Amino acid sequence: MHDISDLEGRGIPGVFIASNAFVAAADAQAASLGIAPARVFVPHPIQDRTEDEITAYADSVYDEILTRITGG
Amino acid sequence: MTRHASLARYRSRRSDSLHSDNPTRPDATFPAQTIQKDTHMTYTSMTPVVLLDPTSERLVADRQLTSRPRSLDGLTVGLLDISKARGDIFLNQIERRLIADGVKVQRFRKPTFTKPAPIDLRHEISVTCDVVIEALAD
Repeated sequence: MHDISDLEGRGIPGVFIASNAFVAAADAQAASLGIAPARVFVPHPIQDRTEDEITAYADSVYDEILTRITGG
Repeated sequence: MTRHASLARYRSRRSDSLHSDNPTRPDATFPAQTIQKDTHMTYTSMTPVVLLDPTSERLVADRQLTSRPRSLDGLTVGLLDISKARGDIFLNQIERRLIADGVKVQRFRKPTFTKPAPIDLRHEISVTCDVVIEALAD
């Protein structure tokens, strides 16, 4: 989130993707940083998923990522 | 001065400092004799004690997001891997989808997910990419 915040400050629109275990943490960070970076969440956890499952997660949020990064 | 009065005084001064424009202003300054009366510390009556609150106490100015492009046509998308295990699989698929959509992609990987990306890496992204997608925190 700090990276996206920094890059937004450099004029680079950004979005970060995290698992949904980080929803509350992202909200807290946003309040702390004074910016609400675009974010997209996928189901938690990730690391014990198969490659096909992770690929499916990427496909499931691809359109949302594009929407967040282009402003819709 | 009683301990309660001392704490009230501290809180009042701290509240003042929260609204101060002077970032160097101490949160509270106690005359040494107050400390001597109110605590078991062994400061002498000639020792001034300054208490500083180490937490972030300033209200952060809200910043707006950078304006978004209408589309990714002709733009370069940076994919920033935070180095969490299996995040590369996720980004590989995002990269495949972007390339299939005719979007130029550049890949980056920060050394560790435990820290912000090095400043040189952030600079490189900012001068080579138009937008950035960072993944994957879990």
